Amino acid sequence: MSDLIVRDLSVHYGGIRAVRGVNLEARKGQVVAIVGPNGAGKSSTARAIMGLEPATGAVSISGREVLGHPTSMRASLGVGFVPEGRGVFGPLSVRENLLLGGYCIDSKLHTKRLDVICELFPVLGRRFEQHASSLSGGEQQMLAVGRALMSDPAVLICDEPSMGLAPAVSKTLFATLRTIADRGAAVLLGDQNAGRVFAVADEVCVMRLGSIIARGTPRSLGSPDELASHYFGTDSGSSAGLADT
Amino acid sequence: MDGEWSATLLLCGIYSLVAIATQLGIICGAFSLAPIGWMSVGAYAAALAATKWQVGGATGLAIGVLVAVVFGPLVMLPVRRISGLYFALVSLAFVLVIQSVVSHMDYTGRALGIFGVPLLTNLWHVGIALVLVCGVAAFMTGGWRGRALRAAGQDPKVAYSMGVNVANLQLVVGAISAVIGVVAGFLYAHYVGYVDPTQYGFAMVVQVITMVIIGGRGHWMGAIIGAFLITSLPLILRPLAEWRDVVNGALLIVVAVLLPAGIFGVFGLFRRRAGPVDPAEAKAGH
Amino acid sequence: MYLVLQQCLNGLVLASDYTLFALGLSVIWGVLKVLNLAHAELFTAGGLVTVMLGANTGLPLPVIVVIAAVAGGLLSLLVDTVAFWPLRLKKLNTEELELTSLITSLGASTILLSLVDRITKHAAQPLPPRLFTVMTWRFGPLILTNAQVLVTLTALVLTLVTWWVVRRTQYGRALRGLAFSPDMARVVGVRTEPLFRWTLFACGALAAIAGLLLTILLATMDAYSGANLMLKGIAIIVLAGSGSILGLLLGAFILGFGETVGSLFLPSVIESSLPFLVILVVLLIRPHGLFGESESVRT
Repeated sequence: MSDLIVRDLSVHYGGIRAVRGVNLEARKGQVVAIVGPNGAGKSSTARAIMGLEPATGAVSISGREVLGHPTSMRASLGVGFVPEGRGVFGPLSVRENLLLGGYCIDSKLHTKRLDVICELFPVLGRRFEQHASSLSGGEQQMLAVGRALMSDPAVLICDEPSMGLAPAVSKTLFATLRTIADRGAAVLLGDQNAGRVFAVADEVCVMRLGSIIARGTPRSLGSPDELASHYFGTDSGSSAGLADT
Repeated sequence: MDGEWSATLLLCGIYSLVAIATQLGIICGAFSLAPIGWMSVGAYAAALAATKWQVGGATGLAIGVLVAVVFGPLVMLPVRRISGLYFALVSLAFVLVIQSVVSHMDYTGRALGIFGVPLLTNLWHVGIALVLVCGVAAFMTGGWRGRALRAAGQDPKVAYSMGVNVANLQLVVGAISAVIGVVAGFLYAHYVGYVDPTQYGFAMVVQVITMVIIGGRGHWMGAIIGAFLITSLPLILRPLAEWRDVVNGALLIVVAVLLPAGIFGVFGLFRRRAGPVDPAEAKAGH
Repeated sequence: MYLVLQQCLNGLVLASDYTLFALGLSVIWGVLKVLNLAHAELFTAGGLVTVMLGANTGLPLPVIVVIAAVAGGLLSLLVDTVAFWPLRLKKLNTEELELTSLITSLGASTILLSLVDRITKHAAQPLPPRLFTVMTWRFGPLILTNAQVLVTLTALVLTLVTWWVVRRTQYGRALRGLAFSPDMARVVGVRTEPLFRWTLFACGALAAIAGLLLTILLATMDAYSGANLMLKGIAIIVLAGSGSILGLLLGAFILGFGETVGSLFLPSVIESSLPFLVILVVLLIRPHGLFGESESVRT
C-alpha cells in the first residue's frame, strides 16, 4: 500500500480553484514529482496535503485519513515538509532548527538523527551553532530538508526546493532527495525545474491550471524540452524555468 | 435634570472633538494618541492665558493653535519609520511626557494644576466648534482627498505608487488633529474652570480609544457616535453607572471581536465611502 | 555616598521585580504578538490573593504563593479565551492583530481593574503581618531587609528558569519557532493552541508571583499596583526588543536605578517620565530594541 494517497484533492481561495481534483500516490522508495509553471497549483497541492490550506477530497498518510486534522497531527504521522522559499526558523541556530524538526520523535533519538543529517549534509555540521538566517540560500534549503528528515518521515514533501539555488547546488540537493527515497521514504517533489526533476523522479505529474494533465515515467514523457513545448506552448529557450538551467 | 443633560451634551461635544482628531489619524494609517496631549496643551494655554499672562481667552487659544500647527506635524513624523502598535506607543509616550512635565513645573502649578479659569464655555461654543470640525473632517475624508487618505492608511506603499504623497498627507493630518485637540482642551478648561495633570493622562487615553473603537474605526461619524454613547451611557443606564468601567471594557472587547467597524459600521449608512479604497480611483482624482 | 549605595541596593530590588513583571509581558508579546495590557491586573491579582488569603485563612506563605501563581495563570487563560483566542481564529495579519488585541486587552484590563477596585473597596490593603515578619540587617550604614533578599532571589531564580526553558528546552525551541512562524511550527509537529495556552498560563503565574513579591516588599497593595507598572513594563520590553532576556534585565535596571539612584541626581520631571522617555527614544532611534532578534519580528 502507498504511504501517501491523495484522492480528488481540490483547493479553493475565495472563488478561485487553485487545485482541481488531483490524484496522487507515492510509495516507499519512490520519488513522485509534480512539474508545471508558476501558478499551476504545485505549491497549493503540497500545502493542502500538509494541512496548510483548506481543501476537499481525501488525503491518507500511512493508511490514516488526515484531511480535517491539524497540520501538527500530520507531522506526527510521519510527514516531513520542506516549505517553499527559505523555510527555516531564522533566529534559531542550525542545531535548534534540526532539534525542532525532531519535535515528534523521542528525544533520545535526536543524537542519532543529527548524525544521519550531518552525514547527508556535511555543511550543516560545520555551521551547527550559527543562526539559520546567516546561512546561504542553498544551506538554508539543505537545513529545511534536514529538519524535515529529523523525524525520519515516511513521506517527505518538498515544495520548490530548487527555487533561487545555483544549478550545482540544486543538483546536489536533488541527488540527496533520490538517496532519501532509496533509503525508504516516499518523496513528493513539486518543482519548476523539469530537467533536474526528470533526473531523479520515478513518476512525473505534469500540472497546469490546477489539474494534472499528464503523468508517467520521465522516459515516457520524453525530454523536458519536448514536455515544455508540448504542454505549455513554450520553446525551451523561453520556457519560464521549465527547461534545465 | 435639565442642567445635567446639557452638561452631558456639552461633554459629549468636547469628547467628540478629541475622538474625531484621533479618528483622522487612524484613517490615514497613524494610530496616534497625541490628540490627548494636544488637549492638555490647549487646556494649559487657556489656564495660563487667564491666570498668568493676563490676556484674553482668544489670545490663549491663538497661542495654543500656533503651537499645534508647528509641532503637530512633528509629533506625526515618526510614523514614517514605525507603524502600527509602535507608533501608538510613541504617541502615548508623548502624551505622558507632557503630563509628566506639567505636573513637575511650578509654572503650571505642578500636581495641583491651575485654578481660576473663567467658566466661559457654553453649549453654543461647543456646538459651533463641533460643526466646524465636522466640516473639516468631512472635507479631509471626502472625495479624492478622502480616498487618498484611506489609501495611505491601508497600504502606504500602494498609495505611494499610485501617486499619493502619503507623508505630506499624514503631516497635514497631524497638524489638523493637533489643532482640534487644542480647541477641545481649551473648551474643556473653560468649562470645568481648572486644569490639572490627571485630566489628560492614561485614563483619558483609554476613554478616547474606547469611543473611537466602539463608535467605529475609519469614519469621523463613528467618533461622534462613540463619544456621545460613552459619555452619556452612565446617564442613560443609571443602575449601571457603578459598573461603568466593566460595561466599557466589555463593550470594547465585544466590538473589537465581533464588529471591527464599530456601531457606525452596523448602520452601514456610508458603507461605500468607508469601505476599501480603490487606489486607481484615488489616483484619477489626484 | 552611603545614600547612593543604599539607593543602588533599592534599585536592584526594584529592578528584580520589574524584570519578573516584564518577563511574562515580553514572552506573550513575542509569541502571541499581543501587548497584553491585562498583564498588569494579573500582577495585581497576585497581590490581592496574598492579602485576602493572608487575612481570611491560616494558610502559610508558600501555599499562598502556589495558589496565587495558579490563580494568575487561570486568570490569564480567562483573559485569553475572552480577548485573544477569538482573534486567533480570525487569522488577522500581524499589524491588525497587534492593534486589535491591544484594544481587547485594554477592555479586559479595564474590567479587571474595576473589579479589583471594588473588591479592595477603593483602598490600599495591608499585608497581614502574620504572613511575613520583616527582619533588618545592617551593614554599617546600609540597610538590607529579608523582604528585599526574598524578592531579589526569587526574581533571579525565576528569570534564570525562564531563560533556561526558552533557550535550552524543546518547549522553548517550539515557542521561539512559533514566534517566528506559526505555520512552520505546525509543520514540524508543534500543536500550537496548547502551546499558546501553556505559555499564557506560565506568564500569568509569573505576573502573579511578581505581584505577590511587590506586596511583600511594600507590605501593601491596591488595585493600581499593576497598572502603575504597565508603562514601565512596556518601556522595558521596547528597550529589550523581542526575545532578549538580557535586554529585559538591562531595561529593568535602567528603570529601577532611574527611580532610586536617579531620584538623587535627576530633576524630578526626568525621573518621573523616564519610562516614557525610554519608549520615545528607543522607538525613534532603534525601533527593534537594543537586543531585538533582528527585523524578523517587528514590522
